[in-house]
Amino acid sequence: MSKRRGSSGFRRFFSDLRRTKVGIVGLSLLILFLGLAIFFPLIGNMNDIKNWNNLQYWRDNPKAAPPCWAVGNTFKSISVTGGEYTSNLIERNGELDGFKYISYSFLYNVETQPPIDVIARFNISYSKPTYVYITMERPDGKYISLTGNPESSERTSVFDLFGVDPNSYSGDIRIQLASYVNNMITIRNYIVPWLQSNNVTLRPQDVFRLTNVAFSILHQELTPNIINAQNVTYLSGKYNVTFVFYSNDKNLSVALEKAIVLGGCYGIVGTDNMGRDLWMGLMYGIRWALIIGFSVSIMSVLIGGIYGVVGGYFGGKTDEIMLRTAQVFYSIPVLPILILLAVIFRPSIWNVISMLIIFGWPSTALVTRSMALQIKEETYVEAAKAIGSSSSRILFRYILPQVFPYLFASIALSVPGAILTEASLSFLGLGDPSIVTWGRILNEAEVAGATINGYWWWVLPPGLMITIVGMTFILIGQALDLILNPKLRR
Amino acid sequence: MASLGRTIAVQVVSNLAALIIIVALISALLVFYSQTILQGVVVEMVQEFTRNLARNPALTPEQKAQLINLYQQALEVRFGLVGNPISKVYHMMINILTLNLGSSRNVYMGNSASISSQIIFALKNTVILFFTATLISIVIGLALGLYAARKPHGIIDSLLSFFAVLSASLPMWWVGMLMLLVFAFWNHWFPAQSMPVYFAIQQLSQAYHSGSITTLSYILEYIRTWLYYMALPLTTVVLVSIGGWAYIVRNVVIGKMAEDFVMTARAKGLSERKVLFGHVLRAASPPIVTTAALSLVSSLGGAIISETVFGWPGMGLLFWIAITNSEPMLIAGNVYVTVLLFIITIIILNILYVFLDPRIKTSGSQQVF
Repeated sequence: MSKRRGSSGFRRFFSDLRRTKVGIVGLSLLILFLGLAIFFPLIGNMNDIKNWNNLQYWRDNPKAAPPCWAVGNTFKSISVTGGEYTSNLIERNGELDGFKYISYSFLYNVETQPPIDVIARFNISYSKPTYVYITMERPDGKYISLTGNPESSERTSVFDLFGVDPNSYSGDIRIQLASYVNNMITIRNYIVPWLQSNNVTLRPQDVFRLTNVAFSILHQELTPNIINAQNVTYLSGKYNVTFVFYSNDKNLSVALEKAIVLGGCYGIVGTDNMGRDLWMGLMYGIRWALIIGFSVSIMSVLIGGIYGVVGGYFGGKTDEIMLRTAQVFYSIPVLPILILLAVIFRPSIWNVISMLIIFGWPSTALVTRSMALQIKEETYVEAAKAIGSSSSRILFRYILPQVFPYLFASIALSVPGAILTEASLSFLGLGDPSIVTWGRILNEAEVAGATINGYWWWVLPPGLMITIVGMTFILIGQALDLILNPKLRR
Repeated sequence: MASLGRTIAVQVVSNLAALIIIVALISALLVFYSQTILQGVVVEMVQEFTRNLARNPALTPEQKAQLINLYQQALEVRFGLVGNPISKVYHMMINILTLNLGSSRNVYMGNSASISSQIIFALKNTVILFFTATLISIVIGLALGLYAARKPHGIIDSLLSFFAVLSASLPMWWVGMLMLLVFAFWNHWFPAQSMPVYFAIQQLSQAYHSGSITTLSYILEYIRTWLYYMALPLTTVVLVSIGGWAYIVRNVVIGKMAEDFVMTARAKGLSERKVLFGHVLRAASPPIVTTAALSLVSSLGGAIISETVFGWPGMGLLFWIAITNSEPMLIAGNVYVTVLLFIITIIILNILYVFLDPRIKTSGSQQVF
């Protein structure tokens, strides 16, 4: 009987909440965030989160790349996995002059901007000396050999490029073409001669500057002062990068695992300087924000609420002692002490949550105490006392239910503070290093100098998420306040 | 009057007790903190000593072991690692309470290693920044809140409410980062770090003393330099705190406007202006003054993270520097000064409250908290 009455009261409460505009906005945002937090494995990629600290996992992504929608003319990444049929990949194999050869050609189209890198990963197996030949064909029909050319019987061993045993090896090899091309040895041996053969002669001091731009110069129109040109014009059209592996070994096998022609942008909110997909971090951060917000606010408000009611109800010495204790906690500057505690003890997220609860309850206690002081003077409480109800019955049956609506509102209103404080700790690098939170992403942004490097996509979204989630709970709290204090409605 | 005196006395005593308990807590934490750090230092030094001893062939292993043992004991005595931790906490408490803080290992701010003078230096900077910012936002917020309260649910009121909700959930340090991004990185209007302000001021005063600029231009240039380095942190603090403050004023004033005495005042035919400023504002002043004073005082702790982001040499940054350099006494002094100022303000406020609201003169039931 009483249970049904309780649930209908709760339903009325929610229908009241729905009637206010603020409440609707708050509730729908909350449902959205809850949905995103619960269904993250469907929306996002759990492996990304599990491997957040595994930098090997992220090495194929562009580093500190802005989101694609924000940069108009940039190269859009092309990714090819082995065994897939696409027009971007040509695979050949055969025999020539007693060598078995296997080649992979990657084709990509440059419109205004060139890619920033070509990353390729192969699974290779051989038991006799094996060589590799890399060429690039440009839209103007010019060929560049980036390794020794087998036609001039000048061979480059796999050892030189991949650092694996040249005579016998079985396993993965990986190359980042841009860093190979921008290497001084490659520049001296292959880039400068090629430029010279195309009537571009560089002064010695300019050769050194090639270490930053050699890969991008491969995509430029050839002009005599290519390195000092004011406006860089890239040659648009189809490029073809070919990797040829050749060996005496008839059992040579090369299988493409993955190749990426890397553009300068990534995904919805870009990447950080480790190449991590910030979108995943942002979405997953909702989970921790809600966990932290809910557990801290519910626990501290409940503890504070009961504490205050008990003190207010019993009065006298008990009340005096409890009130003074709460005041001591209230005067403690929370953030400095939290920082100190986080430095002394290992900052696991559950430690942080418990500390936030320990310092979070007094403000609620001070309010519910004065509420209890008023309620206990009501006649129905006196009546209950007169018929001999126990103190705990009066507290939990008559006084606490009166305080509950207020507690609901203050649970909602204290969520943002909890999220903010945790974010502040994480921002100082004192958060739990094993989990992904918005504060931590912002900490890494600050450490990497994101503000002074202009990586706005790394700084803006996490703070925005903190703000929006915080706003959601404040809106709900305000709607509850309006329902509970009709005076404010006017 | 006797009961008034008693109310105040109880307030003062209980707040001082709170202060002592907080100091005890901080001391206990810091004693534990420095023990762990110094223990590590001792272990390192003993290892170093052992390596050096191993090169000496003249000693037998027993003699070496004895020497290492003696060395370790000497170090533990030197670093104060022996003895009763409770008495150490007690001594630290006494030192903190009497502001006998000693010196830090390095000079982090100002030009003296004395912890008290560094804290005074930082406090001065925090006051310059946060007092200005809080005062600006109190004045603007008061005006905004009063304006919104005159027409509840009007456009201004709705905008204000939204802004209040927004700024209550904004991390101040994040707004600071955005400010740096926009005004220091994209448009090079303001400096990215505020630390060099003292260097700039020093150069300015040198130029003044050498007589190359006039007094008037010196004063103008002095203010301009401060504003140039303060602009971004100041705007950030004002922007973030103004909304919530205006919202509090609005709510308090709306609450008071619904009361009977306002009806009476209107019935007497007073102008709306007189009602608002003469009657409503007087009744609403205790909570508004309380909130204003408390926000002024809590700003003295500095915003640890915002000051770190901007490199503003105030209390917050000093605390963070003390943490990163493991300076227990500097941490203690910093927190103590903040708490001390907070508690003194609360005592003053409680006394002030009695005069602002005559009803609590005798009962003593209503307090700031």
